[in-house]
Order: sequence, then structure tokens, then C-alpha cells
Amino acid sequence: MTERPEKSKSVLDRRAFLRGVGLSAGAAGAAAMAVGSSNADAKAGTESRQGAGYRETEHVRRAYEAAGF
Amino acid sequence: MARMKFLCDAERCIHCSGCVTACKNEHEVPWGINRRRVVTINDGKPGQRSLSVACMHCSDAPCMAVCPVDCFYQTNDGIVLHNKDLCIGCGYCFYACPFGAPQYPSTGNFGGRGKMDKCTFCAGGPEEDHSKAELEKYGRNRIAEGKLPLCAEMCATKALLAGDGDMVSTIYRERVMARGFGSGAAGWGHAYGKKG
Amino acid sequence: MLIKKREGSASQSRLSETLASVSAGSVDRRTFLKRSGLTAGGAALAGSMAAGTVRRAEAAPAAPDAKAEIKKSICTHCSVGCTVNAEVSNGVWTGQEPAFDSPLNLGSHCAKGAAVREHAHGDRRLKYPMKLVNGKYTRISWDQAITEVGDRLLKIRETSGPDSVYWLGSAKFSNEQAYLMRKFAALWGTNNVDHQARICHSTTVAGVAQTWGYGAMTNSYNDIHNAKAMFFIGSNAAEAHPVSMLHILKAKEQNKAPLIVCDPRFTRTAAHADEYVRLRPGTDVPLIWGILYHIFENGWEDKEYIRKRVWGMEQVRAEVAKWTPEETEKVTGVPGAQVRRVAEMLAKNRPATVVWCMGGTQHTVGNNNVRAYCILQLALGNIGVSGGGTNIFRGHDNVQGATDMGLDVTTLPAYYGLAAPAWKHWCRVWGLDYEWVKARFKTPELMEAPGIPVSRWYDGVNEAKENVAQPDTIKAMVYWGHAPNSQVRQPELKKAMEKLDTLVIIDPYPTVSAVLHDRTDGVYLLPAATQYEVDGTRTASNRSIQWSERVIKPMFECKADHEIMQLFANKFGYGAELTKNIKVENNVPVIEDILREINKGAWTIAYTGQSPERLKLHMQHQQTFDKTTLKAVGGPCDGDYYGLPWPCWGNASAKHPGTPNLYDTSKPVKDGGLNFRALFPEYKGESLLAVDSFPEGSELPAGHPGVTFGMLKKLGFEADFTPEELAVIQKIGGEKVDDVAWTVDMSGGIQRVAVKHGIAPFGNGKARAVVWNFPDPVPIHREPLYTPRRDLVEKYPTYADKKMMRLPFLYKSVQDRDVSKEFPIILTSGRMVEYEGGGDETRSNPWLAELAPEMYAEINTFDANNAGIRNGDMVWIFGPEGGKVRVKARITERVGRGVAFMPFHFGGHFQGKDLRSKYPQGSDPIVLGESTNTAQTYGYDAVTGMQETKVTLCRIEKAQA
Repeated sequence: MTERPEKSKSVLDRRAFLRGVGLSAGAAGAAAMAVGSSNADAKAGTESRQGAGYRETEHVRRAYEAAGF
Repeated sequence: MARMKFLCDAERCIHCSGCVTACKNEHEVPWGINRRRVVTINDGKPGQRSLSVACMHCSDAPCMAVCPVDCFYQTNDGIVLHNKDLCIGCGYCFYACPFGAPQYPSTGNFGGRGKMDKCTFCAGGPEEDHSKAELEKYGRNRIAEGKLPLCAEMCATKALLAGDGDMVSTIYRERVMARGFGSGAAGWGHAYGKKG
Repeated sequence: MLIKKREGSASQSRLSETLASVSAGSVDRRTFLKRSGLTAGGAALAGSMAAGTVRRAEAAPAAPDAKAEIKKSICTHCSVGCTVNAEVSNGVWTGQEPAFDSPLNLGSHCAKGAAVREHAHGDRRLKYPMKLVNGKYTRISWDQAITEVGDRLLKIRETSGPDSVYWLGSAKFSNEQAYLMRKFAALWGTNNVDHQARICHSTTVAGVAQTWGYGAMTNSYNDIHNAKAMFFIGSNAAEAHPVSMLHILKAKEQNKAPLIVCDPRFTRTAAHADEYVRLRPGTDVPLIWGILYHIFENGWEDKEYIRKRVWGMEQVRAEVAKWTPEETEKVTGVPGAQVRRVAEMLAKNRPATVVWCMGGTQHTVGNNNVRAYCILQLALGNIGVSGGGTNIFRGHDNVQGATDMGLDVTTLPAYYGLAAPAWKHWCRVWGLDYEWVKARFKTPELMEAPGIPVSRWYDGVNEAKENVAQPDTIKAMVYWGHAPNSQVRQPELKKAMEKLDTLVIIDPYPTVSAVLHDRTDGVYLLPAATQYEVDGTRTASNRSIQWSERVIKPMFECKADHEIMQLFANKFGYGAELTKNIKVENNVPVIEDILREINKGAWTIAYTGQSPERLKLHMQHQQTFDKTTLKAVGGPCDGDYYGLPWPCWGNASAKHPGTPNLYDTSKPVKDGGLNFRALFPEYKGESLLAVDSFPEGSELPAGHPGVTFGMLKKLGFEADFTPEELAVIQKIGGEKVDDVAWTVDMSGGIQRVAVKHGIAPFGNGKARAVVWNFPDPVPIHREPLYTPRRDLVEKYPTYADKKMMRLPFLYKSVQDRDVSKEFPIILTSGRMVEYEGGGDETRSNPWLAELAPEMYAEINTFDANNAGIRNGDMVWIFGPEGGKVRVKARITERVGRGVAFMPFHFGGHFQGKDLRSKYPQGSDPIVLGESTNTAQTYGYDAVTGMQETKVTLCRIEKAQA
């Protein structure tokens, strides 16, 4: 549960980033934004906040351990 | 904040292509598209070395800079992803990329290209995590599952390392210390700048 | 540009050709998946679908599936034994996760292992039984298949005798299936039952066992971590056993252990070597003797070790003295200074491990080669030492196990041989009357006579009847999990296939056997399940036995091999006998019960303590095993070695931990210690028992022969036996109860009591540097049958022609024919990482096929320029026996001057002709190509009948476009 705020944050950041891209790139980006919002962002407020982004899970720790072998 | 990186240790890479098929398997990458591949130099001669190469997810990614539709974005973890709905398949990113990472699915009539495809660091794309759309366009999202790219996780000799850049450099550094030599982290300077 | 297409742009046009010729399903899986209209859970009955339609659910769940479970299987390719963690959802294999907990692979896979899920989706699998009708494969039912094939074989049995049906099994079987198949053949009444080991490591098994006891890898992949030097000869581990390189490179880095690679090719393994030694193919013995020359010359041998544990080294010394640096260089081509340098490296970095594979074994002198490697290690005192050993990397995932299970023309399970006592022992285990089993054979002599090796089965068809030492020639061939294109002299093999009455192919794939011949009828294809579709144990190269869990149910109409055995046995009228003490559910014999029967009988190699329960427990607790020692530290398997590497003495209740490193006297036998086996306690009055050498804690601190009940009684240990054990021993021994040996005591008491007192049940002898019962007691050099060095033939001639294994074996008469002018280039063969064996399975896997879309030959730049051949040209390679192949030239320095190389995984093209249209529709592998073996030639090891694929001659010409 402690990971939740961070996850939400990264998703938000990603969306913000996309928006930023749209802004900086002018028309092409803005056009893209429309496409993006029609599907990618449709449910962004709910499920897509789950699980995004890297975190050091047990699986990841085991992967590092094996890699360091 | 963790910064995701790849590193391929040329002292370890044996060109077994496990990374390549792991990627195919995980993402059902179609025939003709190779998000990752292994390159061997001086093949058959002393000095022969192999390296597994894919998108390095550069800090200051040239693909992002040149894309005319700005379909690229970088996640908080430093992973460079792109939006296939925006991509127009122009191929500029391929010319810009120092690693030859971008791939195009079809060579139809008149040399037209399909949407660009490349390594996602197993982090999917802009679609909702684990959605059907994400799976079909970008493949599985292992990062969101709390895992690392499968190519590195399955590397036969642990030559290919992936994950938090600090961890990756620690593992590599310890290895180089133990053996007393290293062939350098190929491509790191190019991908991640001097800071690493 | 850093990136380039993998094999250069030359392959591009071919790639697109290949692409154009394959069905959409394999080209764009995702599209296919999207369109496939997914039935519920993917459980649609494929049987009711048209060919080419596959049963499949959505390949990957969109979300990490809460319902997904992990099944632990073992990779079905090489012998490293990598654990495959398969993600299964609703009965469909949806993903692969790294198995970090496996001490053998730590999550790692090569290209093949990382792609195994594809086999179990299997667009190109055989989907239902078929028979060839007027030249076309036509679908039939299983009932019809069993009835028709059964009737045909029974008729042959009637008219020509049981030996006229050849039962060729597989290293792809689990131990249980391999064991059952051997028993199945015995009850059919023949010893004509073999498998891939014959053509891969038979010379190793024979040569090494005769040297010191057991013909297997002495240590383990993991134990290489302790090596101070590594000597590879005829092994390209980076391609053939990629995950082993994890352990090898660890030793190289951590111990600064020099990696020495001896190979005619500068392989991907050689690319990581500290010292690369390029030798002429077929000169292994001279190279080893050349090294040993310096070791003896400088007194670097371990004299104490030799005194205590080795017999016959003086005779070796006399032979070695002939291999001066000059003579060695003259014969092998290796510079004298390098030979000395290697000798010094080995002498000064102990322990060194020696690794070999088919580069050493596949020669007419294969048995000499392997014994020379062993003797090198004995001289250095490197056997029975952690970090040392002869780490013989076996080929297939269960070739060690199938060999142990006696899927072999020369022995019953567990190397008991074929003599009457062996049959009597196994009849006791089977609960069958010895006389009844004997009556199954045409004659009692044939029951005890080795069969025709698989390397020669087609000569058993083609030879005149009077030249074959059995009642009639071979009339029916059952290819049960074996690729025909891995056998030399393909034109001869084709002819034999056409001459047969019946050809049966039981396999997950149609294989080249389905298309090589020009038959129009009498061929049956029966779809078998892969190991991912059954439970069973498989033995990795290091003798660790792993329980492999079924991932999915058999696909399409495929049946498990053991079910097919039961069905045929029922048809033949010995179904009840085959599984007398094994539960059978729905015609499927229960795997656990088969393993228990193996445990009940396999005392010689102590495959007896590895009960299904113990093995399953190991798989469940993989993480508790140390990744170097393989020993469990704490947890429910505490003290056990991973996979209970045999010998695991006594029965399961004795709780022996398995033997990680063979012949290691530094540990008590009960903790996995051992000494050399006393195969022959004496020779011509001279004792061969060990002197002043015994395992730690032995209560019999001396050399001794194999343990018998009488011997333990004399030592005063009779009181240690339980009444139950005594009853069994009494029953077996009758009046000669004292003679009951450790190999036949089915109570396990003799082993248990011996081990309790620190005594190795198989005796404590010296290793034999001289194997007097072999053609060359001390290994000597003999030029290959096809050699370019005619100047050496007189001094180092091959053997005289002879007869063995029911057939004539030619040597001198082949070598006498000088073809070196017309065929000046040495031809050798080997593996590629992407494919395995005959390649039918791997070439059908798009993820692998894409990486290696075409057959090729490596030709040295010098030879290519002389012949006017450029990179990417098509060339004809002609063999001296008339076979020829059309392949793409790859010009490279990887091979030396005068040497060409071809990989052996291709098939489906024959002498320039594409056979794709002959495959059953939808079951053609994605990639086809010429088999190198079409051009390869006669030549068989003088002890085991191993084929000589590693050295012959050829001529290379540019092909007209």
C-alpha cells in the first residue's frame, strides 16, 4: 500500500509529460493529444493508476541477486 | 528516483540469443521485428566479441528530438516509450538512433513503413497498464508487474543487466573488480552521458 | 552504424523467401491470435479442426493473471537442466518466468530455452495419426493406427523374428519412459533398441566407465566454480550448452582460471578462451599425449595419486614418449611451444577440469580419445577432486537418463549388461518369469547378444541377409523421438527407408523421416506429446535428477509416449506384463510407479534412493540449495545434494544425499564421498585394488572388491541387517546367499550397511589407464578413415575390418582407398545455438527459425579464393561416397585452411531438392535445408559403433545459380 501514492504520481507524471509534449510540439502534438485522450487516457483516472513504474519488489531483488552471481 | 538502464558485458556475452527469444516470447513480437539483437564483431577471429543491443533508453534521447509528431515520451524511470497511435512511421528515429533500435513491421509497396516498434524496457506504452490495447501494441508490462526486462532476467551468462542504473553499475563494478578487467560498458557514454 | 543484420545482408533475400513461404500464423502471431476467435479457455478439441488450425487461447493475458499458476518444468534441449517456470492460465501456457531459484540455471536461458513455450503452442506439430496412402499423408484414428501398425509388426515378428523390428527410442524421453521403452523392447523379444547416446556420447560412456567405474560427468556444471584451469576439447559450450558458460565464466573471472579451448574451429567458446588451440580434426590422442609428454618430462604428474589410485600408467608413459613436440606438431598442426605452454598451465593451475563433447567422441577412435582425456586428468591427480574431474557435457536434456535406463543395444537398465544374471535380476524386479521372457526371443543367444546400433540400423536393412547376425534383416523401423538427419550416409539411409516393410514415426513433429524417402505407403506418423505435456524425471549432465511437472495437457490428439507404449503392448499381448507392478490409469502408466520400479532395480548406479517424493521436494525447495556445492543448507532437504545425483545409495529411507563429485575420497560415502570402482579386482595375478586410498571415515581402509553379503558378514556387520532385508537377500541368494552382491540385493540392505560403515558398495579399485579389453588397451593415434594426410597412414593406420554388433565393420578397406586428391578438404560438423539435434522441433519455432534461416558451410578464406567462391555463393559440397549437398558459403577464418564446417541441424532438402511439399500439410518446419550428413561418410568407433561425423573429406565447388 505504501507504493500507491508513488504509483499514482508516476502515472500522473506520465500524463503530464504527454501533455507537455503536446504543448511543446505545437499542432502535431496537439492533434496527437486528441488521439491519445480518446483511448490511452480514457480510464486514466481509475485502473491505469495501478502498478505503473519501477519498484524494487522481491522479484526484482532476486533478479539482481542472480545477476550478481 | 530510480533510473532504468541496460548494460551488456561483452566479456560475458556469448551470442546465444536468449535475450532475443525471451523478448519474442514475452511480447509475441512478430517475425521480422527484432526489438533486441546480438551483434558480433571480428567474427571467427581473435578479438571476437558479442553485444546484445536494443533501445538503450537514452537520457537525452535523439529519437525524441527528431520525431516530427513527438510521439516519444520518457517515464519517471527514464524509460523511453512512444505512442503508436501518433507514430507515422517516417523513420527519422531510426536515423537518429545510435543503436539502430527502431524497427518497422512491414515493407509494403513504395517502401512505406508501418508504425515504429522498439524495446519498451518491458514497460508497455501509453495505454492503461495491462490493458488489452497495451498488450497488443507494446507487449507485456513487466515493470508495472514489479519485474525487470525479461531479456536481462533470462540472460544465459548474466551478461545483460537491466534495472536501476545504480544497481546495474554496482553489479558490473563488483564483477570487474573481481576479474580485474572489463571491456567497458559499451554504449553507456552515448546513452546516459558522462554522469551515467 | 553499430547494428547490422545478423548474418550480413546476404541473407536478406533468403529471409524474405522463407518468410513468403510460411503460413501467416507463424509470421504474425499477434494478428493470428487476435483473429483466432478464441474458444473458452482454449480447450476446443483440435481433433475436430482442420490441419493447421491450432488450439490456443489468448497467448498472454492482458493483466498479470491472478489465476495464473507456475509449473516447474525442465528445458527439453541440452543437458544443463535449466528449470523452466511456465505460467499457465486456464490450461494454456501463457508465459515464461525466470527460475532464479534453480541452482543449475539461476533463471538463465539460451535462445532455445527462452523460446520453449512456442513448442507447446506448436502450429507445426503433428496433430493426429496419419498414414501414407498413395504418397499422401492421410488422417487416421488412433485405434486404426495401433491396429494397423500392430498387425504389420506382429506379422514381421512371425515371419522374420522379433529382431527384424527396430525400436529406436529417444533421449527426449523422461527416465520413466526410457525405462519403460527398454522393458517394452525386452518383452517384444529384441535387443534392437537404442537411442541418440549411440551417436553422441557412447564412446564416452564405454571408455570412461571402463577407466574408473561410471561413464558419466564426474562433477557438475556448478563445481566448475572451483576449477583453477579449464581444458575444453571438442566442446563448443557457448553454443551447445550456453548456460554452462555462466559457471565457466564465473571460474574464469573469480579464480583467474585459464580457459583453454582445443577445437578445429575458433568457436564462440574459443572467443572467450585464454588459449585457443587449433588442432587438425581427428588428432586428439596425439595432442593429449603431446601435453602429457611435457608433464612426464618435467615430473609434473601427481606421483602419490598415481601410486594409490591408478593402474597401468607406466604403459601410457611408454606410448607418450613417442609424442615429442616435433611429432605432435607434425600430426596435430599445433605449434610445439603452445603444447608446452598448455601443459604448464595445467600443471600449475590445479585442479583443472576437462570438458569434452562430440568433437572428441564422434570418431573411429572415439573410445581412445576419451580415455586419453581421462588419463591426462589421472596423471594430474584431478579426478575425485572438487574443481577437477572430467566434466563431460551430455547433449540432450535426458540423454544421461536414457543411457542410465539402458535404452541401448548392449545393456538392460542401469548398465547390467545382457548376460543371464542381468536378465534374471530384471525379471525379479519386473515380477516376470525369466523363462517366459526368454521365450519372447527368437533364441537364447540373441537375448544375450548386443543388437544393431542405431548408427548402423540402415545397414541392418541394406546388408545381405547372410552378413547380418540375426535371423533376418530389419523389416520395420520405429523412429520414436529421433531425427534421421543426424545420421551419416543419408543416401544409404534413404535407400533403407524405401526397402523397409513398415516405417513408423512417433514424435511431436513429422521429422525428416516423413519426407526423406520416396515411399508411397507403409509409413505411419503418430503424434507424441512433448515433455511439457507429461510428468516425469530427467537427469541433467551432472547426474542430478529433476522432477519435471506437466505444464499443459497433451495437445491435439497427441499422446504421452508411455501411453503409446502401453497401447502397443496391449496390442501385442503383453500389456499386463509391461506394467505388472505399475498402476495404469486410462491406458496411461503412472509415472511415480514407474520410478518406484526403477528405484527397485537400478542398484548398480544407485538410482534407488531417488523416490518421487524426494525429487518433488527438491524441486519445491530449489532455493535452499547452494549454487556452488549444490548442497541444501537447512530446509526440508537439508544435507541433500540437488537432484540426488546418482549414486544415491540404498533405498529412499536410507536418506543418502546423492554423490555430487564422483570418486571424491575427502568425504565419507554416506555424505557423497566415493573412490574408484573395482571393476576388475585383478589382472593376470596383479591386484587392481586401491592402495592407501579410501573415502574419509571408511571402516575398511583399504582397496576391496565389490561388496557382497558374505563380505559384510566377514567384517562382522551381519547384525546391522534388518530381518526384512535378510529375508530378501536369502530369497535372492538361496543356497549361495553369501554371493548376493550389492547389485542384486533388492532390499537395499547391502548398500545401506556398507555405506553405514563408510564402504563404497562397488569396491575400491584403481582407475585403469590401460583398458585391456578394448582394441587399443593404451589409447593410440590412428588416422581417420578419410584423411588428407596419406603420409601418416602407414605409421598410424586404422583398424582391420571386423565384425561386431551383428554387422561387418569396415576400417582398413575404407582407409586404403585414397580419395584425398579429389576430396582435399576436411569436413567436420557441429552445433548452432539456435537449433538442436536434427532440428525438426527448433526449426519449426519461428522465434528460433528467424535467427537462423538457412543452412550454410564455413569455408576458410584461402580455400574459398582458390576455388573462386565468394561469401554468400551457393556451393556444392561433395562427399567421397557420392552424397552431395547444396548450401550457402560463409567465408571465414573460423575454420582453418583445408577445413570446412557444416551444422548438423538441417534437413528437408536432399541433394539440391526441396522436400517441403512432402510434409503433411501444415507440419513442415519453417526452415528447411540440406543435412550435412548427406555428404558425410562411413566410419564407426571400434568399440561402440559411434559414427565418425567430426572428420571426413569433401570437395567444394561453386554451384551454378
